[in-house]
Amino acid sequence: MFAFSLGSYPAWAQLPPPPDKQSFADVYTGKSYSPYAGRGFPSRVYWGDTHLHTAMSFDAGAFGNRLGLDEAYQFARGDEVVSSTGVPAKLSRPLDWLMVADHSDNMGFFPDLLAGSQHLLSDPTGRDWYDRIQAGEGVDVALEIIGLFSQGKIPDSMMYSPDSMPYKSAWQATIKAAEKYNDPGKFTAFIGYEWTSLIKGDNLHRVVMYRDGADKASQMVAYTTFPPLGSPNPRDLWKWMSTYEEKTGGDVLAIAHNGNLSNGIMFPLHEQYDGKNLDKTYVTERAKWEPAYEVTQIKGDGETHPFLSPEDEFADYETWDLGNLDASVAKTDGMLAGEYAREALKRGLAIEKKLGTNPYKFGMIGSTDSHTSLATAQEDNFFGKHSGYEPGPERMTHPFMTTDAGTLYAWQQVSSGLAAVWATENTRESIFDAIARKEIYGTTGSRMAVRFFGGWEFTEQDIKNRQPAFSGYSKGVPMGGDLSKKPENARSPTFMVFALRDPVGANLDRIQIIKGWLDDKGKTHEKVYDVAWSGERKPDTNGKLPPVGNTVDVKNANWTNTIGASELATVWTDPDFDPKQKAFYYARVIEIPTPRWSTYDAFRYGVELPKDAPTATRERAYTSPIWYVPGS
Amino acid sequence: MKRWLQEPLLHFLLIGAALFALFYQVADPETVSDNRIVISEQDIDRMITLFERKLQRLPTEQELNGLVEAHIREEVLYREALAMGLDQDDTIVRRRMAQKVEFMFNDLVDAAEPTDEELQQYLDGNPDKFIESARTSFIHVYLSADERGDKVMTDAQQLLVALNSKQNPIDSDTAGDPFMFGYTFDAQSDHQISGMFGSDFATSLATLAAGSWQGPVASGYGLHLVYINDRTEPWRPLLSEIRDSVLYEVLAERRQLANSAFYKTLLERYDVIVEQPLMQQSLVETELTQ
Repeated sequence: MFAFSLGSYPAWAQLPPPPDKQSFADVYTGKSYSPYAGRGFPSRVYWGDTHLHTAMSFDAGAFGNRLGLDEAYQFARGDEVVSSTGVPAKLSRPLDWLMVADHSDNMGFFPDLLAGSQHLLSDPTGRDWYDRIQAGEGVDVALEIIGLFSQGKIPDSMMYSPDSMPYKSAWQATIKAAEKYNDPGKFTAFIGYEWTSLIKGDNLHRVVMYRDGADKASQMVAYTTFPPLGSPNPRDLWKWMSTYEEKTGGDVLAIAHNGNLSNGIMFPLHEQYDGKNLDKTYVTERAKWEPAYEVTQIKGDGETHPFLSPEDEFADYETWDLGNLDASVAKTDGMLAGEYAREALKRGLAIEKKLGTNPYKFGMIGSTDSHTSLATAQEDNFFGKHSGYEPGPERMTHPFMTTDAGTLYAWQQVSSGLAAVWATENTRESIFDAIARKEIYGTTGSRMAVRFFGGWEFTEQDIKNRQPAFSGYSKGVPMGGDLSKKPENARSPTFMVFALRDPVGANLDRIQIIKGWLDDKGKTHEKVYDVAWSGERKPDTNGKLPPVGNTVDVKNANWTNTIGASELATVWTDPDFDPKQKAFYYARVIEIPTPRWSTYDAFRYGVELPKDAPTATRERAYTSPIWYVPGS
Repeated sequence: MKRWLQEPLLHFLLIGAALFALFYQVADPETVSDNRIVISEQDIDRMITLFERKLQRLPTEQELNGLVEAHIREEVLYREALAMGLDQDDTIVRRRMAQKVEFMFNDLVDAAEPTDEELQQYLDGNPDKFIESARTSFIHVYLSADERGDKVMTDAQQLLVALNSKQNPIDSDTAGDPFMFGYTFDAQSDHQISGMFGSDFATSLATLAAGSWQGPVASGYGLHLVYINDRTEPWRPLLSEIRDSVLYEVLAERRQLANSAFYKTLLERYDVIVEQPLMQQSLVETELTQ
């Protein structure tokens, strides 16, 4: 090392002066420049959760979460902790990374309320909440707080303004904890928060993720949704993000979630919730700041809805379509198109045609949105949406929420999901950059490895190659990318897709490729293709593949890997390609049936399964799409 | 500053003494029997400050009167409640008062930054907490159970012989079936290996000798023949490499020790009688050793 420094000194001294920032910007276009050139492509998936709440979130605390930031990180990295209700908890396998995303509004409020901080107890509302929580009515208080919050009716005296001391110190505590547990190469802890925008109960939530450390993140407090210092309008969030980057030189991105609870306003086609038309600014800003969408989580799966995809036999997966977030307004069919990821990807093509930019050009991940400080998504180890629904014999039968719109039962909680990232190393920078370039996929809790490449000349030989990823990267683009320009002689794009099941999980049933496109009349379409499947099954005359079977032993909450395959791989060519039409393609990998978490609960506690609860689930992975843009 | 001046325990005792002094002053028989309620200027100032902090403006005269009235009302009812003994059996009141004492001493411990010697001492005393897990570098040849079915074990055994053959070894780069995560793994921790192959595989791997082809080892996917290039046993990093982690642990431990020490001094002032002899003994002992 010493000799090297000495020897290289003269050479170093002769280097040209460092280029100015502008000339660099041309070299590194966009936030994440190609990681493949000269530094190897990602060879590993890193598993994480971008969306975990701790007791710092006001509603989580109200629901009885007593575990703070420390426990959240300790649990995620594999330590055993004791849950808020006294149940010992440990992950079957640690996560590689975690972002705690507590609600920015009223961050830190609940620990203070619980501690009986003088400034809160001197207010009658604070006093009332405090007393009732102490008397064991925490869940009622939580519902009241969430109800008030969803409707924007929280009393001013119960809001931590972003310029107040308690808020600032809560943000500092969040940053400090991430710094403490961030261990590059082993476990990555991201600084982040959730911007919890609600428009009369309609969900426009986003989590905000930092690539940066404390030095930059500390310079501005997290953005909130209540005026005058915050705003519920995504345009204002993007402005805040832009200001943050200008001021600190840092990098942030936002990930929206639960369009299924937005009552149609998450992915607008023509106008925003406030009546303002989508314009060039909206579409470019959204595309710039929101490279990923959280497609599956505890409050329902968001890939698609059976109403939108009637031909898709796997569409009705863990659907939550009672109403908006607080079920104050019931769902109507007309809302659904503005809520689900697949439809949004389609709308994006239509909007791009009109305004020049596709605002919904996002990659897909899953995350938990757990409010227990415990990032659990595996069916046999599910700690519930919040501490009121931690494991216990009666948790399944409780009504989760009852309003005029109907009742949602606690068994309907979804044990989902996880974020899978193809990154070169386990660091903030590497994982953030992978999310920014959309080389990511989401699963409903299983850890299957999935590769998906698009190009013009993949052949069967590429998949038989011992290093298929080599040809994947050299002959095409990975998930999240745009197909390269169509060569003159190419007729149709080819896709190489392969998947390996979770090493301790269930076998795979099939891989599907889902295509969405925009026709010449400006109408969008979708089609699901089965491209690889286990066993000797043959599609019937309608092209429908026979089911893989079911080995789930409901009584004993068990299954066997005697059906399905541990690996599936294929090269697929689009049989219906039209070079004039904008299109996207993503892969969906489906496992064989396995017991749902409710089935495990029934077995372990010796209780009856609720009547309507499905006994088995079909875990799946959704990859980020690959887009085709005519002429480019 | 002398070390003992920084002792949290001393702070607690001083605060305790001050509280007692205050208590005797307040509990003076003359004041207690007094039915006067005095709202001092300081009280009013405090109300104004609180109001201002909440609403970002000064209260109007009417609002101020309202605040004072509410305060008087609360005081009257509070004294009546005390006189009726309503504070005695109320869980909320009891818990709240206990918490107040806890919060008073909870944050007093952060005072002194531990020295490097103290950190080193802690690291030496708790090696297991900071141990770096073993690292294994290996290559493998994969045999897919899906592809080979019943033949997978015999195929693996034949291949193992061929790989280890002195005369005519076959090339591991072309042997076996394709594997999605690749074939060469450098300095992987047990956790990383488990993440890709499952924990049974990681456990088996740890028992294999380095320097020749070994196995077959089963994973969730099939069988693997493994050549371990190198294995580093678990090791203890130097303080300089993990200073922050040690510091966090030391501070956390100090906080906990100080809290239980404080509780211990309080507990010593009481004769605790649990009318079940064995339990009493163990309860007190547990508290004292914590």
